[in-house]
Amino acid sequence: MDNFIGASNNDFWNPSADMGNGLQDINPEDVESMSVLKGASAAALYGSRAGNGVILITTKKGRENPGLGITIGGSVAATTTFMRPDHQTIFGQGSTGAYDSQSGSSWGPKIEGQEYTRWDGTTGHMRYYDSLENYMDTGVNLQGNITFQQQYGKTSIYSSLTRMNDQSQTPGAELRRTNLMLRGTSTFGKDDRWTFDAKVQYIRAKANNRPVSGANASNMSRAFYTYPTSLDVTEFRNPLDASGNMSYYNPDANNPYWMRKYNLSDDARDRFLMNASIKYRFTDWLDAELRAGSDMYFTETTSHLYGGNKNLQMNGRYSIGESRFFENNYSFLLSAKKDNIFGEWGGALTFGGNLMERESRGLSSSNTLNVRDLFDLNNGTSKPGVSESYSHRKMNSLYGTAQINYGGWIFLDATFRNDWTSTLSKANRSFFYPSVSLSWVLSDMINKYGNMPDWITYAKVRASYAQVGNDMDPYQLYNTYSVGQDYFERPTASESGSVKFDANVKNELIKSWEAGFEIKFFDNRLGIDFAYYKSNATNQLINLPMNQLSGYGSKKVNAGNIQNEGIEIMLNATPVRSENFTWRTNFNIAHNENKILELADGVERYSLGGFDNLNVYAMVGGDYGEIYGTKFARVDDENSPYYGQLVLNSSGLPTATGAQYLGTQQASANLGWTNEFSWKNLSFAFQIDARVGGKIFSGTQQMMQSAGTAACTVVNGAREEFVVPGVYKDGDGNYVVNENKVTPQQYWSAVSGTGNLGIGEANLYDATNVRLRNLSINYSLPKRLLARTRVFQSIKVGFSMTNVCMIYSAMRGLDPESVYATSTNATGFEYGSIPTSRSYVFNISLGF
Amino acid sequence: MKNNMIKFAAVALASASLALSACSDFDEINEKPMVAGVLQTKPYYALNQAFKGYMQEPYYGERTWILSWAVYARFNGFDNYGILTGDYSDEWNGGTYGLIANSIKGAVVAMNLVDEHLAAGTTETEEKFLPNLKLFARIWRVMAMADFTDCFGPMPIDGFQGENPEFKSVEEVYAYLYKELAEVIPAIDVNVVPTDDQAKCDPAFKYDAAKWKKFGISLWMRLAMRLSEVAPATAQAEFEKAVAAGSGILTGDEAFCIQEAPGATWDDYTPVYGRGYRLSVSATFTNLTTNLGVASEKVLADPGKALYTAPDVNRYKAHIKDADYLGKRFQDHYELNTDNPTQAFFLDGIPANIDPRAFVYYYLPGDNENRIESGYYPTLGNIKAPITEYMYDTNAEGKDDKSLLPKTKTDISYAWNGYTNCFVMDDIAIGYNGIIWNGTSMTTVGGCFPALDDKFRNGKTQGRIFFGPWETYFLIAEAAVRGWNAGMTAEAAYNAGIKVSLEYHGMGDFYADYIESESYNRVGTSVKFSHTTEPVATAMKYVDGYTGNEGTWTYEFPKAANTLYAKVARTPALNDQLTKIITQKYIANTPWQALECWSDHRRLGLPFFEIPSSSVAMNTMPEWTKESYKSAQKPGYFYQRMKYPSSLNNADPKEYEHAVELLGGVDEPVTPIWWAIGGH
Repeated sequence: MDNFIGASNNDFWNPSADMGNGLQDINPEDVESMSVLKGASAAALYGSRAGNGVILITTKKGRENPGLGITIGGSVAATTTFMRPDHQTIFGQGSTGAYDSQSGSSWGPKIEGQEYTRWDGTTGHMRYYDSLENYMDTGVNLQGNITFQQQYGKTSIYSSLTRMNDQSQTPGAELRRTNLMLRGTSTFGKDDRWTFDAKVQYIRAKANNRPVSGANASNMSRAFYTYPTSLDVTEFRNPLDASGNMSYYNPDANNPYWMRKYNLSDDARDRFLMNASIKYRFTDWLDAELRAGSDMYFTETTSHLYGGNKNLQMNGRYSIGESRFFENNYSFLLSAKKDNIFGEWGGALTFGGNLMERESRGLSSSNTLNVRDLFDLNNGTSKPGVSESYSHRKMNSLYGTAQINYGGWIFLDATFRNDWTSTLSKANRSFFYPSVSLSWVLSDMINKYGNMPDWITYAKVRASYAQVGNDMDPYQLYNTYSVGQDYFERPTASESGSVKFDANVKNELIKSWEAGFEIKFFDNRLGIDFAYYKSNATNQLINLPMNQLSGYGSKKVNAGNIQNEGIEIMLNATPVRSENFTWRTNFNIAHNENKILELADGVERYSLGGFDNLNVYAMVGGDYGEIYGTKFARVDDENSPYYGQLVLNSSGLPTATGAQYLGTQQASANLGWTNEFSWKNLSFAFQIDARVGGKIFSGTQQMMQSAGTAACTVVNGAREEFVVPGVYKDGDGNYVVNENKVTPQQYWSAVSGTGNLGIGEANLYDATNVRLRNLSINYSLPKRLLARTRVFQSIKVGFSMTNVCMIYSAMRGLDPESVYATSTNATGFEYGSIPTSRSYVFNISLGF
Repeated sequence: MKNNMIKFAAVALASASLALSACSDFDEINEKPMVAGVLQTKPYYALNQAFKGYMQEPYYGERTWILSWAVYARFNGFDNYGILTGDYSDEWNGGTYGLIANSIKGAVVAMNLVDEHLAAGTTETEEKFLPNLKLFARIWRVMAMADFTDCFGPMPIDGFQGENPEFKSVEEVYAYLYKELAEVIPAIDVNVVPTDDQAKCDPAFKYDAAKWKKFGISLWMRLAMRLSEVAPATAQAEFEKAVAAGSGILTGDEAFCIQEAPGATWDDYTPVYGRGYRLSVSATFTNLTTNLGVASEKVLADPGKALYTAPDVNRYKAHIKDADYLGKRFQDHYELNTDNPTQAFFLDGIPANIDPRAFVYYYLPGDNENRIESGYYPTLGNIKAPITEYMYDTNAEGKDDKSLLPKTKTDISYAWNGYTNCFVMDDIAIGYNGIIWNGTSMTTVGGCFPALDDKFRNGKTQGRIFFGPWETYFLIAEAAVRGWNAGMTAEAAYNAGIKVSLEYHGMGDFYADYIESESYNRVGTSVKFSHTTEPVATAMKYVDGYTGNEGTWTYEFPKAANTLYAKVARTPALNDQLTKIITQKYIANTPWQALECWSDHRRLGLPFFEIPSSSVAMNTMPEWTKESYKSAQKPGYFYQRMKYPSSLNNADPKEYEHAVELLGGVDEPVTPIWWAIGGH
């Protein structure tokens, strides 16, 4: 679903690091069930956060267990590079065919083991080094967990402890997490009318040096894509020179080993999730529930930049930040449900409300150091400054649902929700959004009044319409001033921020339709599920860019009507189902059509990402994600004998047009095929995914071509001069057939080295790809074997692999799923992305 | 059952009313703490913010100042990014666009706050001072808008109202700037004395109204002169109005100058030239200053104590070359397709005559024994003379000690040479040609060339000059040469400009000799105002760089008829009075007024800039061919403007199209703007 929700920071230079999402803080062992509520139908209960659907996770309650109720599990996973761009290994560091120890590119001589003088003046024999591979590690992820669950009378207990340690492929990047959870449920009182449920969860996550993407020095993948081919990065493993400063072959660049040892950033978060609810059953058809919950966390970020790097800070820099966050929710829910109230008519009603309050506050400070490597804010070149952040908001909501059913085979559901938010103006503070859905189980109906043919097991049709509203972050109604001071402590003042606010903005609203059917045949051996949907995201709150000469960089507006319309078809079959052997297969295909019906008044396009003359736009009347960039200049006069040929410059090198439409990032279809085989207690599964259509621009290829590391800069093992087919204009403006020879270096600097991103068309690729997405084998020991041990209740082992192999891709070795920033909306723009990874996971679980 | 229903209703009602009543604090919650109220926000705080931002923190200092403006003006000779040959960076241009926009916004915020404070009523001192402050903010806005339009071209004149503004032609922008100055200057009340709290917020003039008025008048002259070629009548009328309005900036202490902060590592006040790499002098600058003025030996004796703690002339004596010596010739190491008359020559020493300011701005290779300012950027190492270098064999497979050509051994100690303009994407031009490889220095190719002195990079003693007194004099001299009513004769103004510049740099002792000097610099211009004899080709000595043999070389000055100046000169010349004035203005404005030096070259083709050399045709400079150097210079061989950043096209595609239409050419760096040669 494409709309403007998501991507908060798409900055080309410093997109936000992947800080993980809430999902990652949940221990998979604690999950009882997980279901995806598509579209907006979950709106009433979950509110604005359900705009793009809901992943509903139910965690485990303690269950009665014949054994001790203890389970011990563990997994080991290894991560390696899955896809990396095609690179050449034949020509060495340098330029114009000559070796140059200071050069950052690989246009040097052919690597033939010849003797040469290295960067440090010693002699050596030239050879190729795979610096990316040599520098990167194999990622290792270790997880261990122990859970205990048991039921004692009417009280059940569930508790778990999980410890995870993840060492990234990027050396120095590490994530450690500990989860502790305790949940107790009890029913009590007369007729067990009362139910009490409480859960406390503590999560500590500590991360070191989270990998960084974007066009900046900390993005290590980007540095290695263009790393000189004959230079061995591992030589710089000891990154210090005799005086303790950074040493490197090129003093203006940063030694990656130095960066990982002496440019450190860490963050640690302590998070507490607490929920308690109490439920009272008035009668068999009416109950009430009160619920309170808090999500609270404290985050500390530090960064230590050591001294000795003249490119950064000779004496080092120290930063520290502390912040706290809480979100509290208090809610009530009344539920009534009764079948066969009047004849076969039944119904259900719920009514609830929620009070939400969210506050965060942070302080941070940073100073460049006076005494080298003494990390103390007061040891600075100037007095330490402090920046303060604060955010506070509330939202109150009332909601309800109503259901009428007849005969247990037709259901009509309606929901509503009204939110009152503190972040919008008084006039727009309250917003209402309803939904209605109909579900008709034909098979139940027919079976009730007659007989379905045997071969039809189940048939259902459904249709729904829903709306979901959403507000925005606080303090975005009025522009204000802030007062500060300059270096010499003279007062300064400015308007805060660069966004022009509008007090009259209102809530976002997503409206969606869905209709579909589900039929199962032959005792569930064959099934089909079909869905058609149409969703319109309207009034989206975006910062629409403005000409800075207006006084603002952007303005807050309610913009757009983005329509997503599509179908999803899922076929599943069980071709073999015998006592010991089962084969299940599932095939799905999805097609989405996207249209920008409207942006803002007078605005025809909105940039989703990109850089300079390569941009990914949402265009009114067009797709979400149309790629615009330069093309090779060609003779466009149809009457010319050279029509369609490249227009070259007088040296015979390609030239570029202005920015034009290059293609859309939208795929025409996504396909998936999964197969699952089980034989007794052994199961095996694999999944093949395909994406068809859509384009992607690769900045990685462009930078590698420019630097001479791309495989396409070498043809048949050589870099021969060649004539680019095309024409150029002579002094009189007539076209002349080109006969000038150019070197590959000249060619690629004209194609990929001009401007910031070269000629856009040259690195636009078809994003179609087919891959074996994953593979898994699981085995659980038979019960009777376990029974003999008298100790174990269950023993399970498994192995799985993701990104097993790329069956087809046209992107010169890159994975079309690489994007330049996490959660970007411009998926058609790739630039220096961290290579996608393949992972191998082995897990074991022992139940006592 | 009934009982339950009552419970049900009670819970529901209680909960619903709780939810609704809890909205009462929403307004309060949505008010952010830490914001300043309008009356807490003094208008002069906001104008101080406009000054502060314009000082350019290192992000902009590097991209806007060093790598763009200082390269366009040829203050920074080693252009690593192809800027001299018409390449650009969207990021840098976006930065510059925002930098100027923010500074103008600061001025507009100050003006709006003045209105609000006066309307709300304030103290007596504020009521007197604020009207003046608004006028100062308008002057600042005029300066920043002029910088903007001179960089990019068409721009809006009614911006900063919170709506995407309409672009106007450069002509309309200039008309607006003149109108502003004409309104503002007479309205300034020079009798208002600011309080200390007010004065504190002006790092240049402490809100001294008389000084602001002089700055306004000088600025008026500068902007009037800009139209000398495209609209001479307007230029004259505006210039004469400026002269009639009073006196401009004429002395050192009236200069619009803001002190940088030496200790600031990353701040707007961090020294703008403070980035940690060598900034090598350009061949354009060395061609202008070599053999111009006075004997180098006398300059190095440093009578004004401007250069050395203890001058030691003997150290240089062996390195000072004869006046008729050109240097060593390395023709195989240079692309020769440029009109740089000293191309392929490397002067292995100090020229006999020099402009005294040359050694103030740029320190010589290896010359850091006792310079007052350390003379080198500290992290670049401390390489002391003697330094010996070689050329690499261009046919060798690599650059290492084995591929050095032994006979090219050259003593580069104190050698005065500039980095020639060439196409950086062209490894044949950049990799081997145009440089002597400094094998011992780790600071890449720049090590063999004089580099910008630390004095201009450390912010300790030199303030950043936005308008110097010499510029007023040279503007008056140019106006007088054009026959306008300038209030002074051309010669008197010319000499006064030279005097105030030499004195400012501690070189005042040379004034008398300097203004009488008739020696030609490498592009055929002399100092003496009345000496307008054109130079002729001269027989000079040189040494073949590959054999060491001495020979005679007929030195050809640039062909006057082929210069860009010939397109506007009454008579094409290398040594006429206008050339002298702009040559002096260029040298005096180094290294702070890159934009003025660049604008003068675009307006007049003065002083002489050589065209680039390259071994291949360049997509960024489509008019250039390998044969271009043989015929007349064209505007398309020089950087003409900054391309609008893509952010403008993204934010307001319609007005972007309109701006390009008003520009009257493609949105590229080689398209001249309206008042430049080729733009009208």
